[in-house]
Amino acid sequence: MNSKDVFPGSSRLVEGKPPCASLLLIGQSGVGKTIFCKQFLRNGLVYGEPCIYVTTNESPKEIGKSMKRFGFNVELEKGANTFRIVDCYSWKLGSQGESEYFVSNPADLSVVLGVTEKAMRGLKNIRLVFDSITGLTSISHHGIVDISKFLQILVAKVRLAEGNALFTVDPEAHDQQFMSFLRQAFDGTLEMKKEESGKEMKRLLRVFSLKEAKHKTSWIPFDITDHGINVKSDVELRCMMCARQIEWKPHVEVIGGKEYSFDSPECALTYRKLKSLYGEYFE
Amino acid sequence: MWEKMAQGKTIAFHSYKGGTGKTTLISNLAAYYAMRGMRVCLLDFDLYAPTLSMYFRKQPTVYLNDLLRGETETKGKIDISEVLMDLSAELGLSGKLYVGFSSSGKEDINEIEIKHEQKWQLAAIRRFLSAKNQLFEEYGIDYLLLDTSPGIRYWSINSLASADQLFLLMKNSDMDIEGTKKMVTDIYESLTRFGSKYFIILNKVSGAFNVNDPGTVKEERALEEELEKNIGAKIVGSIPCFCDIQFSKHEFLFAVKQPEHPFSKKLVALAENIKNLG
Repeated sequence: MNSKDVFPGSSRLVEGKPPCASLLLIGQSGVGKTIFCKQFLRNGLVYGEPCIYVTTNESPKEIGKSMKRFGFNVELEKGANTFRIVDCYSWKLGSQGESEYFVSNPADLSVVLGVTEKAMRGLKNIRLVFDSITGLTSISHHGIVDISKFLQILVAKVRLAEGNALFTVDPEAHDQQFMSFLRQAFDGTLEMKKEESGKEMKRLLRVFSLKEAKHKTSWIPFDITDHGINVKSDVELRCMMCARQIEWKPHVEVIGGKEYSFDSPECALTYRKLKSLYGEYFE
Repeated sequence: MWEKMAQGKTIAFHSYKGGTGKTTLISNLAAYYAMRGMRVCLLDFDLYAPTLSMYFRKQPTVYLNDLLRGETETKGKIDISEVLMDLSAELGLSGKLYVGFSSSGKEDINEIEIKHEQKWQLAAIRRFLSAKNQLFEEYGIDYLLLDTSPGIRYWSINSLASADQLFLLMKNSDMDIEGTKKMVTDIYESLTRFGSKYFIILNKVSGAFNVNDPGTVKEERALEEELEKNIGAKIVGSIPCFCDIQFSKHEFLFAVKQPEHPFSKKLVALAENIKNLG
């Protein structure tokens, strides 16, 4: 995991810091969308950004349990008012739900919107996850116009709060027309897929589009580990100082007439310091 | 509550001789910063005579030594997570305090001291620096504090080279002054060419019973000015010698547990000074 990442792997996929954006995350069931979203929120919490999780697929208790994997006690974060769950799930259990932002009737989009707006009220630099559009549309039949209006308002609210958001969708549950519409509705699209080769299954991620940012468009492999999503690199270049794989562009410096590649200017500086102290023994 | 820093900082505490109070001061400083809401990581890089595990009374199962020998690697990537103990909750700190201990076992110290050749040591430095990057990127650390070995030793030099700010602890004795001056010439001046900044912390200064007396304060300042001139570095803190700390069986985080104690007040002043150094 890399907390500097706005979304998992962003430092490998996007040059510089990605702009504030509401992104559509497309991927079939089981590919890792939900864990991707949780890691996106976890990175925000590290930097004290208020996080809102709109869920149609999991109970707040389950979310709390899985966020613990990333070292976050959701109860504490809720106490500090930095983590709010808009619960569009618990109605299925016939319960009232414990969340202050419980949605009793998620089939009514205006109710979902109202509760989400309440959770966002007064907050800036937020991170919002909407998991998932598929879950929401499966509850009741909504026309494309209703969904469009609902998503446009939500995206506008996130923009107003200078936030970042991820909205997940399973493409296999929707027709081509709906998916084409969704791609237009957001600032960018991330795609995830699974590929099987022999006995191995590979997970892949790509930035299909992202407004106002230079990004790679190739598919990059990723793993789901105990600590979350680990997006791998498509190049094999290691830092001369810390030996880590270099993510995007190496920091190159000429030292003693030789050109060296570093992960960061800090690594280059440490290398220079150690070289000055140890001389030829440090290579 | 302090605001999160835009960029994390690495700070090393070092001294010419042992017994200057590095571990006590750095542990208190770490806990104080975490108490103010900062995300702090304290690492025991006194690999030749580690004491942090004794100070915190912890018996970790994974040490920094394991990280240095590459045993905490997963899929070719260094991972410091297993080494860190999160003490924030048990100490009631509103921020985060992660501590990484090093082993006081004879075999582990021998390994660092004599067993391995240059190549192994270089690989170990690389692992440490990779872990350091991980701390800032994944843990969002504001302050990485390194408790180093006294004197000019391999791992104290490595710690100093990887830090942004270096704090030399010393007592006001001739031996400490001469030793510190030598370290400044041999090591610190070389590092300043690359932007490192170093400062002096005077510890265990006599006259604790009179900390608020204007005469004592004036004398203290005169002493500091003379030392600053003699050593060529700014003094950012002067902590008196308090008998109840010096001779206590186990001083433990006075700055957090006893905020009204004069030591704690001096420590807070030092913490604020360090923060304001930028």
